[in-house]
Amino acid sequence: MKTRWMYLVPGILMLAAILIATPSGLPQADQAIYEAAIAFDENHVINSFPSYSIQDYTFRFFDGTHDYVIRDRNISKEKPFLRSLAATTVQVEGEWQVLVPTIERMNSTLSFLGKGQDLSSIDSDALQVATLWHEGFHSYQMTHFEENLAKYMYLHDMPENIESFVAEYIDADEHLKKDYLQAEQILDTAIASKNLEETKRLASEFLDVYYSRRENLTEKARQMESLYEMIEGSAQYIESLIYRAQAGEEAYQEYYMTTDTVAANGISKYYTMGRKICLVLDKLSPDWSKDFDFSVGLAELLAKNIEEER
Amino acid sequence: MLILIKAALQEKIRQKDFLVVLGLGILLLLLLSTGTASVSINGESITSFSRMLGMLVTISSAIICLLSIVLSLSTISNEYKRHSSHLVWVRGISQTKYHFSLTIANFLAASLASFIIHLALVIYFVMQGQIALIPRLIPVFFMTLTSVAACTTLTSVLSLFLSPLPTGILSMLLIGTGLSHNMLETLSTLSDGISSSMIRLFLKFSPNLSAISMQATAFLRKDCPQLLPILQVIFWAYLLSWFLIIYKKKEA
Repeated sequence: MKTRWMYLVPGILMLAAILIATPSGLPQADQAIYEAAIAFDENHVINSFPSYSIQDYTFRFFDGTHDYVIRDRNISKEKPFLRSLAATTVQVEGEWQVLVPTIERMNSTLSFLGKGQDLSSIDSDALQVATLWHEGFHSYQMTHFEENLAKYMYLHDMPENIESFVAEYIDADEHLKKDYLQAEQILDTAIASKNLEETKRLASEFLDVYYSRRENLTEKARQMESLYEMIEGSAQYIESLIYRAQAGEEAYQEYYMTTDTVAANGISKYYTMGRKICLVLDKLSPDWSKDFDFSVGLAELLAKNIEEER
Repeated sequence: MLILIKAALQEKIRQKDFLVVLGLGILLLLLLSTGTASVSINGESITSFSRMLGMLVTISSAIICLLSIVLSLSTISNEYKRHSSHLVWVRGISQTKYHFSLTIANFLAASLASFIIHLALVIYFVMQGQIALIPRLIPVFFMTLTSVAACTTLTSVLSLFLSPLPTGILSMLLIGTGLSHNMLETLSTLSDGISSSMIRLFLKFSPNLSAISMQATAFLRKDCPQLLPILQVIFWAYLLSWFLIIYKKKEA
């Protein structure tokens, strides 16, 4: 009997240690990421889209069981709104909110997909912060410009499964892929150019290839590409600026501007194309994003800029 | 008690199936590590050291857990089948001490197998020119012992109630769940259905052995491992061990 009582002691000690060590609430790492994202806003680190303030939007961190909701710097625990392991924007009772998995949940997912090791060279903290800005930007787009997006892009008529649509109607055509890559390479040269006149010339050359390629697309495909370049491209552009501010120029170049980022298949190419158009616009017209209201596509805006210069 | 442990341990090491499974485990590990066999994820072959490291730790953990179950499967049931237990009762040794001794012998035998598997990892590190990492295998070995403790305790406890076949099946199921804990948890978060609830229920009863592998890999990659998952598995094994104290077999 005495032995049994003695055997209880290590159990009680272990249980106490586990209860003390088990974290509750939103993990510290996620709180730190959120605070870092807010700090960039408060310090006005980037000049693009000055009307976008990440603090205006509610964030939901999904840990697999609950949502930890941050609203006006207050954290509350709620039932999960959406069981999703991808970062996204959702409409909750009329309000566009950001939904992201916690860092631990994200790492588990990546590990499960065998992608964890792929990210060993990336500044993951900086990427987390940048991701919050990216998704927050979607909340900004949908909160203030949903009407413009809907009017311009026939939002209601988009293909249900975008990836399948792209695979079937766009990526299956080698000429379309080749022309897309060519257009992107011209943009890369324009971005790297230190000469404004050369940048304008290259931007014009890009638009020639870009529009010539689009003549071989259906109207639906053109709308879809323009929409993704505008919505996701601009969000990735904001994301990349924040990443650069936190991780530094070298890390930024390695992650966003190496040739590995040129992906001919899938919708990710529209993110990259849109981002690169934004970077060229930065060179030609540094204030372009100040009044941008998503009523025209990014390529159209670039064409307008070049036309005005002429 | 020490004599009981020593006798049970000696019998374990003499068993041929222990040597066969251990030999196969080492062979598999060496084949994977030298690239003769190959592992791929998403169609991409894993060959670089950093990527192989996590995979090797996971596979070696799985082999060690399998060995632990195999070694522990028949220990207690064989003792009662052969009526060796009577030789113990006549000496006034309690069931608790007897069952604990057999379980500890299972643990020590599995630890020896784990040690040999880790020697295979040492060979891999030497072949990859990563000799500086070898000292880190010592704490990693001790981390793996928590998985060994979980497997041997579970199997020993189940063998008190069940014959070897159902013991093995149930142990494999729970330990398999534990080794795939992270993956199953990720899958279960993606839906709200009955299957998702069942997975989450099963996960509540299984030890999170995948977290042990993750901490071991993190330590080998020179990151700081978390002690909480290790403590949780040890506590899980501790709770199970109470069955060795509470449950009394009728033969005594």
